[in-house]
Amino acid sequence: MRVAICSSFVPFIHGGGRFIVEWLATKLRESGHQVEAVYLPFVEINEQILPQFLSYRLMDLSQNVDRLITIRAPAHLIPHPNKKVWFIHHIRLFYDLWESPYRKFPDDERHRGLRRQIMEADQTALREARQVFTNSQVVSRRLQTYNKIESEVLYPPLLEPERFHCREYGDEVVYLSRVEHHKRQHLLIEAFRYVKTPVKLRLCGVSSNSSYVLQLRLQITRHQLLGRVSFENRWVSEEEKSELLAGALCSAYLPQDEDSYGYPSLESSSAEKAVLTTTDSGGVTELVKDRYNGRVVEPEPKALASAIDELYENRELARQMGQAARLRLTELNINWDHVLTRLLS
Amino acid sequence: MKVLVVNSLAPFLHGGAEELANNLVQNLNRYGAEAELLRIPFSWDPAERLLEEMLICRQFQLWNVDRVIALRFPAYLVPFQRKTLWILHQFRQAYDLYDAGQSHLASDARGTVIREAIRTADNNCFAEARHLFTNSPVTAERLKRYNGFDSVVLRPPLNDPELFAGDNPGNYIFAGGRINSGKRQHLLVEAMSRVKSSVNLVIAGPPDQPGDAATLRELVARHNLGDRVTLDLGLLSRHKIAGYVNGALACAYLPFDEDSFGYVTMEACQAGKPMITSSDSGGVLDLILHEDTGMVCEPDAGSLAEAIDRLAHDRNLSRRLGDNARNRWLSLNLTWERTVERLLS
Amino acid sequence: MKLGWATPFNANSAIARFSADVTRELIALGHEVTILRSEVGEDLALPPLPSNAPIISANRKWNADKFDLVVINIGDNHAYHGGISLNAKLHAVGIFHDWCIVNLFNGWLAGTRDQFQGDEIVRRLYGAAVLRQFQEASPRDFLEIAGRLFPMTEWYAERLDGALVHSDFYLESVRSACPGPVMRLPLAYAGRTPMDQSPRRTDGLIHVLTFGMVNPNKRIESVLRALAARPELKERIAYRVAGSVTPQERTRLERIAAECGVTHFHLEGRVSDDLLDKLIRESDIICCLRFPALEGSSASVLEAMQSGRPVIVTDTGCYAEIPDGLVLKIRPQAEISDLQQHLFALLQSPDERERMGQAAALWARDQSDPARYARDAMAHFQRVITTQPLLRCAESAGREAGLWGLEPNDPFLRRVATQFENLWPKS
Repeated sequence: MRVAICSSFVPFIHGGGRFIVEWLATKLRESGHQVEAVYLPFVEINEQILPQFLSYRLMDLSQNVDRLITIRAPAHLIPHPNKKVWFIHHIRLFYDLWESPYRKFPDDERHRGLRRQIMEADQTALREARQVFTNSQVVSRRLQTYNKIESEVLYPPLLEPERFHCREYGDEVVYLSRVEHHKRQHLLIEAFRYVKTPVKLRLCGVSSNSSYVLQLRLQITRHQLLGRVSFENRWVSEEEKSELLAGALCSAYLPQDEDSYGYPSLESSSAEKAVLTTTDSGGVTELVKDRYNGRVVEPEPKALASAIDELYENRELARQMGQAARLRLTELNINWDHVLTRLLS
Repeated sequence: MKVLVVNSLAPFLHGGAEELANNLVQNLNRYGAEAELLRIPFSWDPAERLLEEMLICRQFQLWNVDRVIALRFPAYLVPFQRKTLWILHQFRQAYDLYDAGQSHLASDARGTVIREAIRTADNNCFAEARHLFTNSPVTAERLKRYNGFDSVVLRPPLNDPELFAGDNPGNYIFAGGRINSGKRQHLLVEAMSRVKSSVNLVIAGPPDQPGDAATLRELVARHNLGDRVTLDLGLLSRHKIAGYVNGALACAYLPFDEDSFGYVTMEACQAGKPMITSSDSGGVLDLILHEDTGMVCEPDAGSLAEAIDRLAHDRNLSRRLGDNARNRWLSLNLTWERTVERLLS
Repeated sequence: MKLGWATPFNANSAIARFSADVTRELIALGHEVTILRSEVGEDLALPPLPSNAPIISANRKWNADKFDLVVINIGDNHAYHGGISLNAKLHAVGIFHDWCIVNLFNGWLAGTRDQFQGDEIVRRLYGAAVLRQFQEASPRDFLEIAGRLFPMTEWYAERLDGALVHSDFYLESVRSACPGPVMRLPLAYAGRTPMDQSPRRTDGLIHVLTFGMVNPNKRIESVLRALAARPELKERIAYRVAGSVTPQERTRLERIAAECGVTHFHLEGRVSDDLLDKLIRESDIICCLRFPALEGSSASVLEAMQSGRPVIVTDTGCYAEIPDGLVLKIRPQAEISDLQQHLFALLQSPDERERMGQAAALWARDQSDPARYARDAMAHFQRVITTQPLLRCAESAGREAGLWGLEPNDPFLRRVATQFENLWPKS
């Protein structure tokens, strides 16, 4: 089949949406399909939103494209008789973040009018699709609430989960993710003030926020955690990640209210390591069930510390949860065969 | 500097322009910029569609980009302050192909409205550009004739000159490039039936249509040249092609009225091989001068056979022509580094 | 909502009185209203009607960001409505009180000092043949021909984001020109307090009254000729006309009356509100004829009907939409004979006069609620605001196409419009 994967993008910003497109393209090609990955620009300037919607809407991919799969909004506006939408998030400022401080424009008649038109366009376009998938229950619920659209959760897998393996359950908790405020590395560092066992913490990742990085370093120094907390603000290769996870006690991934479970959770699960997360992390809690394949605790340093200590002292528990973490991926059908079956049927 | 290369995309049709865009991005990244590629789907049939396609591009917005290098219609219409255009070709159906009666644009009133719309949109775009480059003298001439704009000819360089280091001349003429009736490889096969020396012919490259391959095979069979002519038809690796070029006595390329040098010509010159071409091969003759850097023949089997024999018998001549060709080519300094420098100036 | 309400706001304007009533109700509903006076010249200096809303002049080009929506009240009077700068796009909703606005058009045109622009507009909207009529029509026939051939409704409607009309007969022409939503909403006109029935005059004559500015479309001449045609009518009917009248027109009508032998004819000229009330109270029948009928909906006929007197109207425009049996209708092509017939019938039957008058008053009172109008109008304004982002988007596409030399009605733009409808079906 000739499959086009269409997604919106911001030049030079590489987020999760790009991985889904690239990895899906790779897997489709491996299965013998011809794939075009098409990224189209989209800028959230209010006066330009509807004209850009129109551009997406006018696009004609009916010649040469057998199946259209759309990812990031507003790609789902592109018409096609054989369209499946893998919806990862709305233009959230006009949806669930309307009531948040992120909305800098007034809640007046004019903007409400724009909001209504955006919602109506989304609804019309989503209804046309043969099927709508999302990357998490959080997003599915939002689609139902705001657009009255039914959707099926289709979890995005890692490209090469087989890279990850388990060697041992060592002394280190690893947090391998981008270093940003909403990822809350600072919460985990705080937790390490209260651990009672000799457990260590390793933080690795790139950041777009140099002041947050500085804040973390100061935090580590101020609480005399330099001996226990290692913080490397740099890009980590797949090999390195695999190595670090192979020997870890468990991993941590505790972003604030993130829609999707995040690739770090999958990496950890593939390496048979339990995931430590918090009750308010959002999509992670769809993957991680407390005391099954990880710990889900209150977002409090002491609660986190206690969970970490428990795993340090009970390696058997760490191992059991780690195995369950791997099993969970199968339970939730987080694999490319499943994805391709759902998207191509 | 964040440089966005902008190109039109015909899904699943990949030709020279796509290759060039990819190589441009690679080389921009290599020589000091951060580059990405935006490919905007383009569907030009029926002619009425062209208006939608222009509007689509005109309503996109680009953010987080410092420079734009745009290559083709209608993608080069995307709004951005002071774009650099490197025009590979305009929409020829609205210009020279229309005049030649080969356009899908009707010659009625409606066709005229559409053509005028394209011309106006083009002119507005060209007028605002920071730089107007064209990829060949032919493109530049068309731009001047139809739109009244001057441009600087910036020829696409060889992508992998290091592969074409040249080697001792062997006993075969090598004809590379796409196989179709316009490239006239069949003339070389016919020439071989008249060649007196023992030199062989190797034709290697992708046929545009299965029929093109069949034609050549038939011709070889008909003239009983199975042991003199090797047909290696299909998409070959660059290493394979370089191997053929480097080991050849001479190269042959005789397209009808080519716009520019042609990659085959550049590869031959880089490897220091004399080139056999035809007096009506167009832009090839900007580089290949008779008995200076190659042999320029009449487009018939007899004339070609004579040239082949001369080069086979007079190895001094062929070496001298080959050296001249290489020197001439290198003096043009047509490298990616230089190209990137000029595009970003 | 914050509304800018563009309107004439002097006491002589029926539209001003309408605006005062409706904006009062809008404020009562909790909205913030600013009156933008649309008069020009000396009429702008006339004292405004009393209002709780702030009043500024529309000439000052309101800042669109101050308001959620601007509403423009449109009437065929340049002195009252010419204060609105007619840009290519007004980003406002219009209320068409008059359907034929050719006088407003001509007033605007005179201000631009560009007759060619006007010709071009007429040609584009109505064709070359109609343009010739526009250029050649005599002043006397101009209004009548305009009503038939070049009412200029579309010239204003195409600049708006939405519109309200007061009658069905011009709904389609506004809708065809206006890119935004258009709705019909019956005019609310509170008018005067209803009056009692009994005539006061004791001269034994039946009094017929026509009120309003005296001009040919009120068909006064036809009434005179109808009276003249039957002796009973001539002898027993007194015809009074109350409204400002030019000396020439007075002379002309009085001469016609004299020639016809209609002695009981009295041109009062311009009268005060109180005097008009008195005249209505003293009348038995009100003649509210119009041809051509320029207005979208008639405040005058509502006033007449509210008074409880039987009313005779011309069967055209908004008058034709009044339910039968509440008024008597005359055919425009048979004015005099139909008038004769109706006047004679009414003359003969006081009971019929009473019955019809009562029925008319009841119906007219139902029409008179400005609170209803305000509520229904707000629902429509909401619809317009919601549609505005789409209109801006469509305009941007149109502008781009214009830059390529495409005409506004190019098939390409129609295709784009279809895509709009496809993506936004409810709008």
